[in-house]
Amino acid sequence: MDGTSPRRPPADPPSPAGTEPAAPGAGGRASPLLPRSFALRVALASAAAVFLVCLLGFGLATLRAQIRLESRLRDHADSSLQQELASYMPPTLKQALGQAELVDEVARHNVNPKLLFRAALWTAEGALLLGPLPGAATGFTDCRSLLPAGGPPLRACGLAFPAIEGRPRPLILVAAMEVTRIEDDPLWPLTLLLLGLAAAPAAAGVGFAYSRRLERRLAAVTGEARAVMAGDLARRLPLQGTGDEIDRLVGTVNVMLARIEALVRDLREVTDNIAHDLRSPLARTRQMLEAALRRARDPEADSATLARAVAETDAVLATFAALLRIARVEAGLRQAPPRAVALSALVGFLGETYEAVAEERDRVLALDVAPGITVPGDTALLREAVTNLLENALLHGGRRLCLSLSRDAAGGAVLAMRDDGPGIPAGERAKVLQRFYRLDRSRNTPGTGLGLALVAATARLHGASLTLGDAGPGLVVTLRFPAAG
Amino acid sequence: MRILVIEDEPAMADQLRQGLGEMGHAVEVAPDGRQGLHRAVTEPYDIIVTDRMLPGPDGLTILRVLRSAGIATPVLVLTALGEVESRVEGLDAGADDYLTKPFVFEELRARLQALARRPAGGAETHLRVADVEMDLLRRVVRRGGRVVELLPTEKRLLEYMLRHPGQVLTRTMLLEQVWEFNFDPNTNIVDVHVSRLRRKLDAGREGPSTLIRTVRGVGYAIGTAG
Repeated sequence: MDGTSPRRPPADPPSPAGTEPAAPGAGGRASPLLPRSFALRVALASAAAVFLVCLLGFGLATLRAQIRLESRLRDHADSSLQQELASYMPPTLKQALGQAELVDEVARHNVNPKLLFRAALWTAEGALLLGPLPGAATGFTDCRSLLPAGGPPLRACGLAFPAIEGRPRPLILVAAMEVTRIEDDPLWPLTLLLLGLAAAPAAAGVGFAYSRRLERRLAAVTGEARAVMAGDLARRLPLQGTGDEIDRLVGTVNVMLARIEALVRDLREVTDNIAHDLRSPLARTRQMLEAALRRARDPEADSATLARAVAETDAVLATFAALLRIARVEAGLRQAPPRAVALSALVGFLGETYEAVAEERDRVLALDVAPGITVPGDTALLREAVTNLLENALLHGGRRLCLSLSRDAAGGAVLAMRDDGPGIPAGERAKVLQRFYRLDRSRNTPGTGLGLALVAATARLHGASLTLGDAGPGLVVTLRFPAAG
Repeated sequence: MRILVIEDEPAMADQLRQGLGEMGHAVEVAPDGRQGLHRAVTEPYDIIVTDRMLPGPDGLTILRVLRSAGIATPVLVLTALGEVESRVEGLDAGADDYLTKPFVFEELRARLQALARRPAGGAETHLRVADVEMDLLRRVVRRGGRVVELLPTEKRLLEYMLRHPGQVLTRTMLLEQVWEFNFDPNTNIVDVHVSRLRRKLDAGREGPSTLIRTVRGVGYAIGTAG
């Protein structure tokens, strides 16, 4: 039942599979304060980042803007002060007025509400004639003394009056003007804080949404992976089609899954075949023995039955032995360091051996073996592989067989077994290399159905290519060894 | 003959004790590697049959210890099905023969006989059985003084048979020794070649062929039993 149901609900993972993947997360280095959800963690992190950026960034920007604004205001005050002063006291007037008139003029100016600045008048020695400005120090020491400590920021501008007739002493006029002050907004830090607090959730939302999408993709992948774990090897992980990193990873995993599925399918087929090929002779033997047990004892018939039982058992054992050899070759367990195998001598000897067998069976085996060819490899395996090819041709091929060994243009050894039998349909050529595959017409000839599978495994171990072709008519099996070096 | 069997599997040990006993041998069974090694070193046996996988020191270890101690008692190693490479390993370790379980008892009997009569590695240049003579250096075979033309494969087959006159040689033994096959082929190559050899040796002679005997269901023997 569980083998045949192709789909399981991924939302309901089986409990053993469900608990296992959670373990690394729970046992890992994750802080207990952080949520386990990736999306939530991303959301928290981005909110915190945005909050900090808001505070620092906006704070710095505000500070800089304030500094620039104040400097602009000062410049503006200076220029307007100079302008006002110039228009109020053109050079001609400045030249002409006597001391008393000048004092009058300044005094009158100081009470004129239309004018923006207030002025004070000193003698060059520092005696204050008119003024002072509110809070300004009396007595002339330097310009700074004009600036009242703690008072509003002032900009000041001086004008000198040289001594002339009616104005026996040089006079200095200092005009001062308040600079507009930018009030520090006591709520500004709070505003910043609020701004940060407002931006943080937005960032959190965006972060959460993005990582949630990611999480969902990963969850989908996890779900499919669990379905595969549960045994449904036909499942593939979902692709987004964006070609991003995750898609590439998923694609790779899918290729891996396809390979695994093929291997498992192969294995299952082999297992089924083994079951079939081993069960039939065992069942026959059992039936035979049971029948013998039921009937009356008869030494002659019993001996015949036992002999047949032994023969059947031997066939099973032969199949087992062949299977184990293939498994070992495939696992590369016989990977003894390859030695130089005198392939020409080996093929010649086997060819001579089977020439006689062919003759016995009213067939002709022609040999065409080039001398002196060696390949690195395992003599015992190559002997068995060549034997299998020869026996295959003898049992399934036609009447004229040819075994040849030569070198190709690149210097690689090429072994070809040719017959003029019925051949193998192109569609079945790959299949006959699998374990137990037998063409329908050869079901009743001797053999385990493992011969070509062992040749294929041996070829792989030697880095040789194995091809089945059409000899027109007949089959040609070619083993091409790579050229040395 | 006095035979030591080192085998931990009770069923197999019993079968060996009974079968070899029926053949008239004195059989002693050691149930593990430790006891087996102890007996093999302390007592004289004609042949030792040991399993490859054993509790305690395994068969190959026992073999190496014996050989390094200079004990040359012929040893036949039994291995489980499919351990193909253990054959090479076993022979490398100094085993005289090797047999895969399960085996036909006749096979074991033939091999033990061959081991018991193994010549002490002579450097002979001529082999002779009845009126057949083989010159090992020139690879020339004569019967009754007349040269018999044989193919290299047939000469290898004949040489092996001549080295074991009167003994039953099983098909598996011939396959292993002459063809170096450690697998069973699907065709009867031994029978084909023995009958060709027989035909060539008997060419031009009258009467039934008596030189190479067929032992039904087991194999072949050359010359008279002895």
